[in-house]
Order: sequence, then C-alpha cells, then structure tokens
Amino acid sequence: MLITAVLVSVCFVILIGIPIAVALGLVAIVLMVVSVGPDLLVVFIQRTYAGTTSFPLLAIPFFVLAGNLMNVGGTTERIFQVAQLCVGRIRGGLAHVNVIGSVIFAGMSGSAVADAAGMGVIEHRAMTKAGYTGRFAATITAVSSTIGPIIPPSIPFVIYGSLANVSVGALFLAGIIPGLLMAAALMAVIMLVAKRMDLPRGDALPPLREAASIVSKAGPALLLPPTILLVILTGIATPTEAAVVAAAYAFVLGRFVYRELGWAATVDVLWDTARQTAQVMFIIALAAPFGWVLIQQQIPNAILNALLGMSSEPWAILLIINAVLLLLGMFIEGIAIMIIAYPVLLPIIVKIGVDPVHFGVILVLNIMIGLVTPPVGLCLYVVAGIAKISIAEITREIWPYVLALIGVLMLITYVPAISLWLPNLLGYGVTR
Amino acid sequence: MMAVLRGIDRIIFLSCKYGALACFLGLFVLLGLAIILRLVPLFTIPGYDEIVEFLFIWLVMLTSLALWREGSLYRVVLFEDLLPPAGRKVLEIGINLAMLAFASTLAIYGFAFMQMSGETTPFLRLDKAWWYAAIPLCTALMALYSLVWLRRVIRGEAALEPAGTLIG
Repeated sequence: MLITAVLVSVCFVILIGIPIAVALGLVAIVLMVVSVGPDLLVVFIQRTYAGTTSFPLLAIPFFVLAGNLMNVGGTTERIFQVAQLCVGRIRGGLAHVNVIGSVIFAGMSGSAVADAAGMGVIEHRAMTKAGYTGRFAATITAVSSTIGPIIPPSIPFVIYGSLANVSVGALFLAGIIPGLLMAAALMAVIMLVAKRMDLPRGDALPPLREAASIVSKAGPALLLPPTILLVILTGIATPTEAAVVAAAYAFVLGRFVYRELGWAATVDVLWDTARQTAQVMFIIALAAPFGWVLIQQQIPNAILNALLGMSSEPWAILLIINAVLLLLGMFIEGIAIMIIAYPVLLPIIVKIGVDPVHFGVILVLNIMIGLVTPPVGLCLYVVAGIAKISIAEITREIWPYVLALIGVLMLITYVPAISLWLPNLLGYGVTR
Repeated sequence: MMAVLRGIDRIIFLSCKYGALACFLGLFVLLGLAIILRLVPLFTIPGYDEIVEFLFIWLVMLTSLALWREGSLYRVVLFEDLLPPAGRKVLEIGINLAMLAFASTLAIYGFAFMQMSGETTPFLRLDKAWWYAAIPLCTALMALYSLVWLRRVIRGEAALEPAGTLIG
C-alpha cells in the first residue's frame, strides 16, 4: 500500500508539472514527516548536501563543458566531415554519416542532448540541403544522439556509478560494444528504409589530397576519445579528472587549433554548462534524501518481494524491469527515472545474480530510448526545435528505429558478455 | 519601489552568475592541477578535498537559484498543456505554492542544520557553516522568488517556462 502510494505520488507530482527536483524533495519531506515527524528533516538537509558533493559527480560539468566547447569551437563540424568521408557515398549516405558522426562525438562527450543540439544542427542542415525530408533528417538525428551516453565517456554512467557505488571505469568499458551495436542496428534500418524510399547517394569520394586534408584537420579531435580512455585505464586520471582533460582538450582545440572559440563565447559556454549541470545536479541532490527515505521505509525490499512473487526467473524479472523502464521513459525524464529506480531495482538485480555493471548498461540504454519516445522525449524536443517541425511528424517516422534500439536492449539484457567481456578483459573485475 | 526590487534582483542574478563561474573555474584549475601533480609530484594542494567540496556545493546551489529565478527548472508540461487557460492558471498557482513550501522548508531546516553542525574542516580549520550555508541561503532566496512568481501568475503576467535543457 505504501509502495503504491509513494510511487504514484512521485509520478503524479512530476506529471502535473512540478519541477522534477522539487517533486522528489517534496515526496521525501512528506514521507519523512508522516513516518517520523519533522525533527528528522535536518537529516534531509544532510543527505541533500552529501548527495550534491559526491566527488565522482564532478565529472558531469566537465563532460558537458567538453561537448559544448566542441560544438562552439568547430570540432563538431570537422567530425561530421570525417564521417561523411567514411560512409557518405552509399545510398542514404548522409543518414549513415549522421550515425557515424554521433558515434565519434559519443567518444568525446557524454551527453545525448549535447549531440542532438550541437552535432544535430550540422547533420540536419546537411541532410535537408542534400534533398532528404526534414522529418527524416530530424528522426535520424534524434535516434543517433542516443548513442552518446552509451559509448564512453557518459554522464548517465557517472551518475549511476556514483549512486550505486559501481566502478565508472568498468561502466565506460561496458558501454563500448553496446554503443557500436546500437549504431549497427540503426544503420541496418537506414539501409532498408533507404532502399524503400530511394534515398540519394552522397557525392563521390573527394580527391586523395582533399580527403587527407579533411582527416588531418580532424586528427586532433579524433585523438580525444582514445586519450580519455587511456588516461583512465593507465590511472593517470580518475574518470572525474578525465572529464577535466576532455574539457581542456576541447578548449585548446577550439581556441588555439581551429581558432573558432573567442573569449566571450567561452564565457557563454561556461555559463550554459553551469546551467545544464545545475538542472541535473539539483535533481541528484534531492534524489539523495528521496532514496534514503525509500530505504528507511523498506520500499525496495517490498518491491523485491512483490517481483519475486510474480516470478523467480531472472529472465522474466529483467523483462518486467525493461518494460517498466521503457514505459516510464515515455513520460518521465531519464535521469529522474534512474534516480527513482536505482534504490528499488539494485537489490533486485543483485538478488537474481545480475552484475551491477551489466545492469548499469541496461538501465542507461532504457533511459536513452526514453529520450526519443513520445510524448516526453527530450531529444525529440531538441531536434524538433532545430528542424522546426512538430513532435508528431517525427513520431510517425521514428518507430522502426526505436524498435531496433529495443532489439539491441534485449540482446544486451540477455547476453551479459556483450557488456562485460571488455571490462573483464581489461581487469575491471566484474563478476561475469 | 519596483526600481529598487529590480536592482536587488539584478544583483542576485549577477552574484549567482559570476559566483558560479568563479566556482567552475576554480574547480577546473584545482582538478587540472591535481592531475599534473600526480604526474609531477612537486607539492600537495592543502585542503584539496575541502576546497573542491566548497566550490561544488556553491556552484550547484547558485546556478540552481538562477534557474529557479527564471522558472526554468526541468519539468514535464504534458498535463498542463491539456488544460484550458483557467485550469492552467489554477495548476500554476498550485505548483508555485508547492515550490514555495518546499523552498521554505529547506531554508528553515538548512539554517538549523548549519547552526547545529558546529564542525570545523579537518585541514583548513574553517567553520563548516560556510559550506552548509549554500543550502539555506539559496533556498531562502528561492522561496522569495516563488512569492514573486506566485504574484505574477495570479495577476496573469507570466507563466512558468516549459522544459529547460537537461543532460541525457
């Protein structure tokens, strides 16, 4: 009864339009006051403070900063040109370029919205200029942006790792193969659609000298993803500090190599980044006491027992969890889902023998799909704004791609090795 | 009177913006220096963890205050969009009252927490109240801004912004 009341209350206050951070905080305050009285509200403040100042979360502002600096400093444009060189010639070439561009961008930024808002502008403009419909271009831009937080670095992985006390390095490695699978799945659907819609082929390959020039100009940018992984894997920097390396690298590229980043623009980027960070950090700060109250009230245990009562088969429980997360993703923003879900789901998945690293990939992929499923899909809104079309228009085109992503989700859910092989290989000591 | 209030609002906004930017740059420099010093251990940064914690809490709280002031904290407007204008106004009043109650509670208990902590930081030996003050100070200002929003919504002058930008 209490579980239902709490979960319904949270969803209700979020859906009626109270800011998500405030909604989580309000429910936690009410629950605290009702269960133990107002005296314990000082603990609420202490938990909020602790939730805000967790060291791993410092990665968030710096990975966002890296993405924003690349968008303003000319790096994103050069990544797009390289992607065009790789796959631009095949039928529906620019749609494939869109996906490959997002894969490369994903290796530098950890945010789907940074991809949709930065890379998305260039991708959409190039596609519509080449004769693709605005609707199709917007759809591909939205779905490809979801790859961003799966391939490292990844802001959702940093948040999950911090909340669930799981190695962020292991999560980063676990995301690489699933991210590439997502790209492959999207490109497979694009190939089918390209044939059906008779989409144009891209321009012929440029002369060798021009191609070499494009690659050499983008070279410094392309070095960023391996640099980030290298500094983490060699222990030079923690994942949090690697975010600072990424931001510093993006700044040097934009300011001194490509010379497209002025000082005034840098200040604007810093302020935009601080604002985007606070949007997430304020939610995380208030999620900390919310999670604490849930545990105090033994709600995760009650849900665990309820789920185990329905089935004791791990595959069935994982299927239910995926279905619930996908459903929530249609209505609630992803980070909020992660924060609400992790204290409830983590004990369950540990109980049924699923590795927390593996589950991190499942959880983040679920919330990424939520970013492009209507009616509430943040990347849909970003891309619709860029393309100046309605959400409904994108929604009509998006389902084959969403189904492909759900297919990848199922594969990743039931074949743990896809996520865990690489972290195990590199000695990150996950259990499978 | 309105000119004075506008002036105060401007001062609060500029303090939030440049205070947050200073914290951000401070964090950038400190974390960057930590990596360099790990490779070339010339010296250690005294009170590193304490300074990082201080800058981070103030960065988050000051910027959250700026977002609260603009009414651009991330929220879902799905249900609100379905309502007729009168229903929407009633809902917005309810939302602002809830936000006012929330911010006031945090300000009151945040202040109590700050007062009762009595801690000093282990290395710099500074009063930890400077760290904890970020929550009651910023949430007290949030409560004031909620009153301003409430007045504006009741008078039909403005509605809250729809969704802000959120990292996915």
